Amino acid sequence: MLWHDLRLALQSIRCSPIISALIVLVIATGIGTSVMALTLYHAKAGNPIWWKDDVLYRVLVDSRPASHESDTQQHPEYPPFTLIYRDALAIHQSKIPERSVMEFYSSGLVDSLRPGARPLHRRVRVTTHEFFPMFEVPFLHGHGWSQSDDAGPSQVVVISSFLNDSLFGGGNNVGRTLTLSGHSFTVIGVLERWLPLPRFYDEAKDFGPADDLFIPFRWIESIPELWMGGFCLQTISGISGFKALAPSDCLSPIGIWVEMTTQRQRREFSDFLDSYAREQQRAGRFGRPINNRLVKVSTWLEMNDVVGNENRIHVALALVFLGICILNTLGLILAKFMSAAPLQGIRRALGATRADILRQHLMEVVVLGALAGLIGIGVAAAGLRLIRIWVFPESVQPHENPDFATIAQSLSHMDGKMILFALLLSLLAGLLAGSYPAWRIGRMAPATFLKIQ
Amino acid sequence: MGINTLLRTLWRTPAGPLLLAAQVALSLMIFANVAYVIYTRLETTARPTGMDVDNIFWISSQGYGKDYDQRSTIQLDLEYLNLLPGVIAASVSNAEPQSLDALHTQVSVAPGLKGAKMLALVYQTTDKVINTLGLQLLKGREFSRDAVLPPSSGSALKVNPFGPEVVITEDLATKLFGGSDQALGKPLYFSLSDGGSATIVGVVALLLAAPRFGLGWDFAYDVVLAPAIPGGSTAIYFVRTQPGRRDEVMAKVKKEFEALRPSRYIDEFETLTDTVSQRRAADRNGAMILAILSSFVLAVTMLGLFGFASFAVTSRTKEIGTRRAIGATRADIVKQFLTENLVITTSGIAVGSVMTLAFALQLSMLLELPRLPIIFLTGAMALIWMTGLIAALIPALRGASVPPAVATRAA
Repeated sequence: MLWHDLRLALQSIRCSPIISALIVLVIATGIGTSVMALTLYHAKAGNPIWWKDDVLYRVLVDSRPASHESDTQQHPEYPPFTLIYRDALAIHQSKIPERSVMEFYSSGLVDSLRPGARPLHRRVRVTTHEFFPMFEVPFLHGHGWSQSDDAGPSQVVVISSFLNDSLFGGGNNVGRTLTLSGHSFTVIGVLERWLPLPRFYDEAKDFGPADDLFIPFRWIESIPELWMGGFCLQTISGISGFKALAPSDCLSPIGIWVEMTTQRQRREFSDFLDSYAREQQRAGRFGRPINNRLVKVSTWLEMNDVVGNENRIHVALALVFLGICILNTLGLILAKFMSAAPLQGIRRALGATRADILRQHLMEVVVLGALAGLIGIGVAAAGLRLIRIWVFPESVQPHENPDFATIAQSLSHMDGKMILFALLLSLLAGLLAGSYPAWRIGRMAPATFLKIQ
Repeated sequence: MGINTLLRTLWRTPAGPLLLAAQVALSLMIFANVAYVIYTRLETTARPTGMDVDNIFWISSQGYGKDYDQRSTIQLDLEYLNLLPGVIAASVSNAEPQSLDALHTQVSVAPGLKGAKMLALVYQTTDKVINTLGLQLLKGREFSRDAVLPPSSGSALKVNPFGPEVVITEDLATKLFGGSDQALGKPLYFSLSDGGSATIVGVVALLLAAPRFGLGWDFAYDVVLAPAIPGGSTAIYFVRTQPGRRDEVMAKVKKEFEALRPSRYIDEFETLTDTVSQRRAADRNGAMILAILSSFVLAVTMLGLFGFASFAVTSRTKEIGTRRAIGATRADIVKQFLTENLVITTSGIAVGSVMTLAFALQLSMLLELPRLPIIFLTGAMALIWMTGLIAALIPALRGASVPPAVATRAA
């Protein structure tokens, strides 16, 4: 029976090729646009460490002064996203969490010490030893550093596979020496390609290339060339350099992440933060009511507005457009069915039931929807390709760092799930547009058509 | 044919007209708002920078190693660049153009930030900077060569890193002092240097420092040019060449520059044209994507209106023939179908304008844009009306050509 319906549907589509093509084209455009917008949204909305979402927390402490002059951000209720240097040190001391990591982004000049090699300006993550186990960073060779390396600090560095390639030409280079801003470090670990998108562990808006070097936190004290930028809420101005930042009450770029598995740990640590903040208030710092937060990674990404309203609006616009397309096809399908109504009248007169007519027309709509879905996926793929060329020129031009291509790819990639979703969406669109016309044509009395003849 | 008869005809099969009106409403909602967003994006990308963009390139030089000396390197580099044939002037700065790398600091008309104050972007730079960037000096003069401070070392909080004289933009002068004339000769206090101050010796017309404008970026044109050689080991050189000689000079510099001094390398080397274009790419791309979307919207709506009118004409051929036979002119027939179309689009537009305004409210909140100017609504209305009429015109003309004889034929 379904086979018969399908044959009739195809026949009907063949009989009115222009209007059928228009129906398919209109739905396909709507589907293509929506799928494109959803793909771009979906690519940004991911959580690259979702499996640890209930154990990893970013520590936020409201260290702001009482004055509200500096509250220009969209959410003045959020505590600052980074910590003041001395608070970071104090909070990192706490033994309550299983793991606690201090980190910030810096950059410096890396030199492989090979004759004739140029130094390279590279991203440096200045952090503590538990960074690697906490974020499950995969090693290709070697390993991370230990607690005593943090205390030293030892002259050890972990490097990315990209830096390993560009500096040493690949291979296992554990034990080799490089200099970072004039200080020599021994490579103790080489990472596998590790490119969390977005880079959730810092201020997370960044879909940039991976960090290239990781060095023990305390090196910030002895390498003045390491970049460290902060912001003073008191004077509302930027500040840079460890020497200026460390003794000040300005926000440093340092963030703290903690790993806690039990409810009790979370409660105790939360109490610890509050009592720390109260202590600071008594000492004349922290001018506002206690407002400390332990933020899950997923919440952290939301707070940082990684997806962005622009993407949300694109999705909303695309879906409204799909709505317009559905309304449009509704009219087209209605016209198409009505023009073939006399034929249906004959079928009814020859014994087809209303259900038969309804089913046959629904089948036709489903076929049209499926066709539109396939073309729509093509439209979306072509659109995403265009977007890749416009928005991520790195992906089409060769770049020494393969991360750029990967990022562009992942930000504009339509995965299997999305393709399946696109097909379902187009069937739904077809049914939405076609149900009413099918119902109407099925409801009509055969005589209505026959008497015109 | 009276409007009442026409409405009754439409109401007899309400599904089609209602669908179409809903489509028109949604299209208007999208079209008006998207056009506005595109406009704001394009307006942003068209803002003047105040600089002679096409004849400037910049170099980011990075020193390293124990032998590197920032002061002498910059001094020798500037001498070299300024003596090159084809170069009008070259200066150094602490920040890449069109970035947020310049120092953000509060500046005020009184010590301790007591008076009027603003967040401003401070470029540490050298003499000739006005000529190098091709800025228009409105009042006063540039700071002198002697005013340029050596690179600061140690805690930037303790020493004034900005030198004794500064040049500011007209925007900043107006916001702080009420005008360029009032600003000239006055002291400007910095929050960054413990109340340190500098005398304003000049005012330039326009200089855009930040990569964006609009809400939340109102400091983009508030710039202080301060005479100081940037500290650290990074130096950003701006070079302005005689018109048309940029690429030639750039090629020469690219070949010679790195080898000129030991212990440094070139991190970036770019024309200002490229830099400005890249910084504006996001807005431009956004506008492009939205423009494509809105053209789709318009096309689909037009198709809907065309389809409806075609269907109406085809299914009412007999009626048209009858009307022609009893005396209706061709113009009457065209008028009938166009009026039908107008009734549908107008009712769609009426509902659509309410939706447009509601959507605009959401949009202005989410994208931090000012409210939708009413011209975009009226413009979109007019456009959809026109589109509707054009779309209906062809079927209507086809309808008008139906001969009266059709009425007498059997179907």
